[in-house]
Amino acid sequence: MARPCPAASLPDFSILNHNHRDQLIHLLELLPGRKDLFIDPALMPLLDRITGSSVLKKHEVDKFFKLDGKHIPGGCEQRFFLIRPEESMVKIVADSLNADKACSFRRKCKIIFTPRKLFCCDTILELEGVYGDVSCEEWECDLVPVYDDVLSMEIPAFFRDFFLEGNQCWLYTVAKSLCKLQSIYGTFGKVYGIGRSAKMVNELMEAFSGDFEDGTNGKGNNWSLFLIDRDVDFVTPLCSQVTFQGLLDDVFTIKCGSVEFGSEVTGSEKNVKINLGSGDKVFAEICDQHFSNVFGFLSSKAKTLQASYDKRHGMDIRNMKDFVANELRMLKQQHRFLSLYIGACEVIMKKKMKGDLKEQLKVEHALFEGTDTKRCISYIEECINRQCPLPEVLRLLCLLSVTEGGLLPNDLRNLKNHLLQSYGTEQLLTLANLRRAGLLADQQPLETMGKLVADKTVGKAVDVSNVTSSHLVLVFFLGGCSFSEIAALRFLGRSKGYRFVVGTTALTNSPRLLEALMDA
Amino acid sequence: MSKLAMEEDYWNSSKVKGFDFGDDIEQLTETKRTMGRMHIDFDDDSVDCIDMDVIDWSENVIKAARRPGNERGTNQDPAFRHHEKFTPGMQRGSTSSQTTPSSLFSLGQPARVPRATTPLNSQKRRSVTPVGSSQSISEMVDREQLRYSTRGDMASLQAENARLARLLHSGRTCHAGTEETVWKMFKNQPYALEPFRCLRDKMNLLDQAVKMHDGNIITAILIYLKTSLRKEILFAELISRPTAVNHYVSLLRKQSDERTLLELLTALGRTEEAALIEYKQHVAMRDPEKRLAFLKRCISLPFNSEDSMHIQNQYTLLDHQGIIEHNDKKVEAAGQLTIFKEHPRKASILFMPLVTTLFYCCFYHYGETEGTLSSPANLKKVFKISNKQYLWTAMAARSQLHKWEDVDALLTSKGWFGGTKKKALIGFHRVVEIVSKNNAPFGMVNEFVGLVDDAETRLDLALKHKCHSVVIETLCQMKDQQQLREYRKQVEINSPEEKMIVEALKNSQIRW
Repeated sequence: MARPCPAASLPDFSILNHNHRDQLIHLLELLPGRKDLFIDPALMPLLDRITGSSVLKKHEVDKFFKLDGKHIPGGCEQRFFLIRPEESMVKIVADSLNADKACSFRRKCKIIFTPRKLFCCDTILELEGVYGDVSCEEWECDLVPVYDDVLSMEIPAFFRDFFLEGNQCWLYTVAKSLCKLQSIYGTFGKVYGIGRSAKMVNELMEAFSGDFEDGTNGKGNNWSLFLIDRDVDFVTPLCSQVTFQGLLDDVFTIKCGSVEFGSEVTGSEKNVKINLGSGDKVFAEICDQHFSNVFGFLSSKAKTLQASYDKRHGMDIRNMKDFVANELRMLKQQHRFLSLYIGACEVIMKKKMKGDLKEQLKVEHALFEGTDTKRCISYIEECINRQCPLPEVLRLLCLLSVTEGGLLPNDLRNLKNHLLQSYGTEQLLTLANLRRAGLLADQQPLETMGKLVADKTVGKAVDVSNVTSSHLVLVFFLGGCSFSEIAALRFLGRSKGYRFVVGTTALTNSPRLLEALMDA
Repeated sequence: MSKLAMEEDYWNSSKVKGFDFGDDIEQLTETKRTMGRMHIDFDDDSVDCIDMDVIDWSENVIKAARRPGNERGTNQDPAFRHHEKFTPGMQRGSTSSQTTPSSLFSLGQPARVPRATTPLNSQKRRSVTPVGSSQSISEMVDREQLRYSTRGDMASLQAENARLARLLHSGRTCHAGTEETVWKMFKNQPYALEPFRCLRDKMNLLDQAVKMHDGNIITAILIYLKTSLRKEILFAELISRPTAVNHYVSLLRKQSDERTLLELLTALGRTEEAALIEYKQHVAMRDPEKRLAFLKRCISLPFNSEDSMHIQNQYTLLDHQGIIEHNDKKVEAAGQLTIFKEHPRKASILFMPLVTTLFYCCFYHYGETEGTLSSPANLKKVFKISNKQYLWTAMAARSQLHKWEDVDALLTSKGWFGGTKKKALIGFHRVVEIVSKNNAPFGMVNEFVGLVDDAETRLDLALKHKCHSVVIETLCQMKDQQQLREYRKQVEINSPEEKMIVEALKNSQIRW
């Protein structure tokens, strides 16, 4: 049994960021002199996180372009294309190279694939007739620390690729990144896994062993690894998020640990982007709180802040000088953050209260308890009739299916019929995908209450305290995890005396999870 | 001796590059050319293998691939071991005199020498190659180097390495075995797939890749197989290889090679999936005529009856939409009808879902008789729209136009004796929501709030919309004297509401 004991200290993961940055700079220096950088739009937040533009400018990047299919003539004689190894991106690069060729403009180009180049990319370069005209590099930017205790690969494609299509192309990167992690921070004492991809990643890690030195073996951390397939638990990410950060993500979309607020929050024309992982104390305190607790906290913070400001009244000149020199700046910074959080809360309230959140939470609750299924079904039907946003409807539908162990044929037929009428018959494609991914199913006649936890996991789920003696645990989600899950793990860690580090292929929430499976 | 030392240095310093059979592609092509004309003596061990050409290769592969745990190298199934030893080159050798140099890799002997001294904890590395199987030279050298590089016991192994290195350098270059090739791909080393020309080799290659779990390699091999095998042959081989099929489907999707994809799925008996993929193509068709014709064909695709019906409906709907769109465009352009003048159409109705179309028709074509194609009643009948759905949509459309008399009519039903009563399938709380959002007159909101079934909900809505009389009635009904007193403070003094409250509080009929 776990005794609460001092939690293990957190390794300093910022080293990973430094490594990624150094590696990218090294790659850019392969072509000395000025160059333009064309960036896969999906990689922008990542690049912001790791280098920012100023660092790249220092390394002779002249201009940045979003790689969106429009060919841009002119510019520097050297070009870098930074892309994910996806066919569509490679095609865009190839088109750009061919456009240069067409006007016989000679330029030195390099494609940087991150986290690695896939063989199929070469095939496209070859098909497009540019193979050999361009050299390819790999930027192994795999695990990115987005918070102190959260490492993300920022590859949302993993979910669809593996869990819908059964494509294993990302497993290599997951396994390798974990091996690299071991070489820096110490070998995992034990590795536990649940799910198909977890097993494969573990085996791939074994294939890698030997490639990496166990440099810190002995003095390294005593930690263990839990690999968890996303399809082992679909219930959690499909639930409504109620933590502050979860709602921030739902409403504003957190990208690589940063969030951008528009004028509705800032109250000015300008958008403001803040890095949530920067260690702002107020944010650290509210991010995992239930949303309803956040207002109280923010208002008390605001009062404290006011009091600190008010101190300046009745100060003599010397104290005032001191105040301005030391405290004021900090207070101003706090004030700025605080007003952004409050503004964000308002927008969240407005958006969430517009729909009937209360009814929705009631329905979710009924689903978990397995009571009043009829009412849940009619609520979903009502949402469909009203043409509520499709991901929201699919979320409830899938939640119904996974908690009930499938839908009765009649219910499914009826809901499907309504859904196709409201959102278009082409949603047949989406429904077929949900079925394939196991999010939607027919109820098996004799299936008893295999609720909440899918059958395949029963008996395999383990209590951490029973299996691991190390108090530092890396929990790696294959296929994405939500901010609510991170909050839950932090909570569990605090109460049980563990320190959890969360690893994931991407940070996700129910709309992103479901949109990945939408096909029309 | 000095040569040997030099070689050792070479091998020790470059464990990765050392086994490329030369450092450039040229040598690979050279290898290809020399392949056919090489004759190499069998090692003792490999001669053994010749006796075994009765083994059903593909059968074993399938069995092995399905066995859980065999990837971990713990497979002790003798048949499996045999086939591992059984390199493709040799089988060909047994039928003709031609032998590929790959038989060189079945030097089983050296593998066993170090094994005897292998510490147990180095088992890990074996996950790649099954124990006792034929291992390629490079792999073994690789493995032994890794295993012993940190241990003292180097001398004998170095000698072993040197021996293997000599073998490799003796000019008898050749192409790598399947396992080794996959390993090279995994390690990002130069490799060539072209030398694998016989079907067995190709499939072995694929199976090795599947064992590695790296989708990238599986895909790369499939790309090669796609160009070097006739479809029917490849499909037949894929039937027993589900992981490979997944990757192939994924590849074909990404290449937008729908034709091959459909053929594959049909060959695999996954006809409904094939039908969906074919059906999906309609989404990209922006020409209504073209899409209509395409959908018509889709109806007869091998869908289940339910889905066929859905697609039939989709076809009919698009057909209707085409006619409505055509007419309305003309009418709107003529500028005759006020509805179109007051509310210009924002977008074409083509390709919209049924419910959106119903909304459109409730908006622009509400009064039309059932016989008219564009009338809401016609849509409801043709597409079997539920009463609830119809009410939702019609309510929303008529409220948006502030046609309150229509809203009222939608909720009015005839009673038993010629009288009328109000009924709302969707619940009056929803009705209130819709009409109040569209700024309905107070009298209407007030009436509908009063009709809400659930007392709590009614009270909430009445408070929200300031329907005082309903609040007071409901509080009386709920016998909540305290809240009623509270409420009295909120209404204006001497207003009719206050009078109502005072009366209610005095009313002896209510048992507070």
